[in-house]
Amino acid sequence: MAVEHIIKGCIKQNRRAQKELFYTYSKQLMATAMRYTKNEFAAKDVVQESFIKIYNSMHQLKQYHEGTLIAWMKKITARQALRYLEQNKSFQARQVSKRSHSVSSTSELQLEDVKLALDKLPDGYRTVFQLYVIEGYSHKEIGEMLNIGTSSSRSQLTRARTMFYEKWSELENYYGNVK
Amino acid sequence: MSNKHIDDRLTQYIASESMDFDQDAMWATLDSQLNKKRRWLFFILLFSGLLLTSGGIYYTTSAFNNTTLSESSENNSANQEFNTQQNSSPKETISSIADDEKTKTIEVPTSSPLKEKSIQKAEAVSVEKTTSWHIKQQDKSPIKEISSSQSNRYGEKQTVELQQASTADINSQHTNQNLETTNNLPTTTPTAQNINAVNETPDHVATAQAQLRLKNVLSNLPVLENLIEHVPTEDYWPPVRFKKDWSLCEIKEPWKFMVEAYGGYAHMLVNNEPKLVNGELTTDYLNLWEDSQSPVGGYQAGLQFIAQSPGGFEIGAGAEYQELNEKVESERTIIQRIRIFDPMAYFYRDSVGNIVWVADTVTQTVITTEKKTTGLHHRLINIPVRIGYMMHVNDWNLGGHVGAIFHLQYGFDGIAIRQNGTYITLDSDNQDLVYEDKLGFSFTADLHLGRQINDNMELFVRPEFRYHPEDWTVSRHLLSTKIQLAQVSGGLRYTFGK
Repeated sequence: MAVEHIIKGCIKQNRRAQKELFYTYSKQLMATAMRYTKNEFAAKDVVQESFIKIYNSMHQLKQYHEGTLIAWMKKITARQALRYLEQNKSFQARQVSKRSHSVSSTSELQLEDVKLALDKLPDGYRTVFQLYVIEGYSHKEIGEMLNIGTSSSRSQLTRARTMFYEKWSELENYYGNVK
Repeated sequence: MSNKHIDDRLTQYIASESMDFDQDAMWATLDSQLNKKRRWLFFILLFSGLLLTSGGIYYTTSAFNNTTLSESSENNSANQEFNTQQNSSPKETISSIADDEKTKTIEVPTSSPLKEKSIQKAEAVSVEKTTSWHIKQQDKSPIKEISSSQSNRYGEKQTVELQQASTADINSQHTNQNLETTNNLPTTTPTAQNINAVNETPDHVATAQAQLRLKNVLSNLPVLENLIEHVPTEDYWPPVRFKKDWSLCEIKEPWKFMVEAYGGYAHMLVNNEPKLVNGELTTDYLNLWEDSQSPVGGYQAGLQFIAQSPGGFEIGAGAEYQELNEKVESERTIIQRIRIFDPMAYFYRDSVGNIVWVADTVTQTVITTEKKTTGLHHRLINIPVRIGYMMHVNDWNLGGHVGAIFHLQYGFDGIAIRQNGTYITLDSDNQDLVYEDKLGFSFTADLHLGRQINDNMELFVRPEFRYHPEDWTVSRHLLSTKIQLAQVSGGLRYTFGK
């Protein structure tokens, strides 16, 4: 089913279209949720809540393109994940990501390596960095979501960027040497 | 490598990320959650359907009752006629002896004055008819044609035409007069012989009963004539629709269809309750919230279509826009730290004694408190569905309605206060943090007072109470907020047609 038909079906609360949307994009949203929560159980909870929100507010979507749809759904998932973390502050038993914390053995930079670099950032920096660079939120929106000022968001992003680029450069140098 | 380039590459990497998990299990949970929401919709539709069906049943039943009533009253009068013709006593049990094997028993109550009048009239007619028959019997005509005609009140002519055999032996079993007649009949005529032959057959019984029924019909006609005198003139009656059969005549007053436009003021009755969070009640937050946020009120305007039955029951549905406002008084403390580079911060004298200025920075702290009054606006698009009853007293219309208000859309913007005392700007993008994005429905009850200003137009005022059973705040919010509305609306109602 084409994306446009899926979206239109979801707006009409068509169950087949909703199922199609879920099976097509839930894995990507799960990865997004996982980046924030670092816990599979929490990520599943977040994805489930996110899909209910997505179904209910599908009519707000202005453009019926796949890129727009995915970006929009990831934004909702990220917001939902942050809300989950805010509500479950006492929840400390975060599972460590199952992936190996070592660089991959291939000769090219892999997604896992990028994630590893991200993971090495402090929580606050990483969250702001992900929200701004990956999800596309503005500083004003990030400030409201994280209950911080806009200027704090900006300064944290600058520091996060500096740290992340250092890690990135290290990785590229490593793979450059491997080649 | 530029920052922008790294950002782009990172986005590309992240775009390809996905994670395997048990999709089927999650879809099963999601599906059941979505079904719950659909169940609500089902119940709402069921409720509306029941309302419409009960309205339809009421309408159909009332029309049916009218028809049944007129038919049954005719039958009663016919029975009364039969009894009075056969008995002088007002209440007796009589037996028709036309049939040797079967005995027909009919009891008639005597308390009704109308019946007594009917009895007197019927007795007179009975005597007259019997005499007439007697004379005809004396004419020895074997077959008699009896014709009776009656005009009904609508100008239609009803004709009852009967072909009656002069079965003198049957008549003799009913009255003494007829008995005498029978005795006088010559039995030698071919017709009489035939009749005797008929009498010997089993059909004799059926013939006798048919005779009795015909007598009833005939004697009934003058009573109808008498009743017609009491029927009001045509001007009194609403338009009448005839069906093929007169007995199925249906008297039907048409439904009225109306449209009304209204607008008015809504007063918010807000009830905030603290929640138990980590074993502690959020009472401090409640106080903070209530200190800074206070309801102001709102307005609503709408259009409604109504169908009103002849009995005064009505059902209506429409569309409405409503805006409710809250005042938010925010107090902000702004701390500004300004670092000033002062090139002449301090100086010292060198060994020669010259002044050497040393640059330095000076930090200045400016604390300002800003008080600001802003608003929080709730905007609703509603679908009201109401049923009610309306009484018409002269030019006044009095009544009431109950129903449901379906909140089709709910949105808001403005400022709300957080638990830590800071303020959050709410809009459609982050409404989940405080208020629900959908409100479901409310119950409504109202009183209606209207005055006809001409045949089609009514001016009305309508006090109303709306009850919303659920919280307006999201479940994760630290306060449970319920908002009920006391409203008063005024408007114009226009009736289509005469």
